[in-house]
Amino acid sequence: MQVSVTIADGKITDVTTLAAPDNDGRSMMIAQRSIPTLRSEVLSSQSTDVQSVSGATYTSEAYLSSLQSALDKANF
Amino acid sequence: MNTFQDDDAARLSTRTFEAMGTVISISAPIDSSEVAVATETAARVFMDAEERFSPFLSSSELSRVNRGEILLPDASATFREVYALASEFSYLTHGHFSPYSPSGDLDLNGVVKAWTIREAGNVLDTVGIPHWSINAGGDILVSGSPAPSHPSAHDPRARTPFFGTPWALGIVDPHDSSQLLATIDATGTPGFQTALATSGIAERGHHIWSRADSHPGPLTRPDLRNRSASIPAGPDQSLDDTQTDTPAPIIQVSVMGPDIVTADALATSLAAGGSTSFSMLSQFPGYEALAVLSDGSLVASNNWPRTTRHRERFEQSVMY
Repeated sequence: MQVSVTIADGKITDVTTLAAPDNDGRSMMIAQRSIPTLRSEVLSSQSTDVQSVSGATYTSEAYLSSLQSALDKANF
Repeated sequence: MNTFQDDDAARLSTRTFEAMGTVISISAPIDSSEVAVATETAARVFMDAEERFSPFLSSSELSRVNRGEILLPDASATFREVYALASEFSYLTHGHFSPYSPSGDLDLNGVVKAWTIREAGNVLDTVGIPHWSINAGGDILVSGSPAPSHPSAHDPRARTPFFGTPWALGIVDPHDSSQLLATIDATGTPGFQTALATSGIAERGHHIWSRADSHPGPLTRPDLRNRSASIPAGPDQSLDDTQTDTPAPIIQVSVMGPDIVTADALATSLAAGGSTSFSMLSQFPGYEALAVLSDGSLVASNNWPRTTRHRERFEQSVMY
């Protein structure tokens, strides 16, 4: 298959499939679906200004020290 | 001077309550006393679901079905709906998801919380609140906008009322819960919902991750051929210790998409199945995933929203 590899600062930062053998649908799906990603690519600049925070399920106790709890207090 | 947004747009208000062992946060850009009333309504939905589906309450319908006091065909329509939902996702996720506990009892907790979030959202819509956010223990469903524009004589957008900025949703960093790992913009349009669900692997040494210690190192060079060769054909093979050159184990997966039940089920399944199970997303158009691996690196599906400024420095094509 043909892929486009993006290199920044000597490291591979992105791989995009340009062409994949269509007789192998499974490997094509994999190629299209799982891409190494830089943290700076997914954290936008206004990142501190959010209205809600997603994370692994917290207990009622753990909530008290969570970012969501801080947001909720600010918006009470 | 046009300051209609500051004057007219209600500040976002939030109320919380405890249910299902966690805290539920309801936010809406309306008067805080209205949010308090809406939150009571939403809380009722959660209490009802807990009373019906809790495996810990002997009086719950689930417990009565498990004791054989009620046969499944005779269970309430709500119960059968959620059972059907759990069965559907068991099938769609190749068994990563099951409506039965290991002991063989019915246990619908895999879908109950997300289903209840969806029901609570429907209730908020029904009582005339078009813009809201429900965060139930880290799984989020939002509708509309946190700062909708209002029809107003001073509003140049009066002809398109109620459209506003999207909700900005953060994903917590599993390595430092005081930090955000990523953010996404969600909906912004009334009647349109965005779900963001996150599943984590709570502890190292979970049986699914038995090969974690033999991992060769950080994922620095994706080898697409090896990855496709190592897809587990089913849940049993994902326990295979002999696989090599696989990415570091996933410790957290977030899935975004239009439906919270689907997003939550996919997050659970991807966390259990590892990054090779990302191929499962192909069956769910509109759903995207972001995974955090144990070495701190990230893996995203194709269309997970990302900033573009880091992708343009140097490109080359390579034949594999």
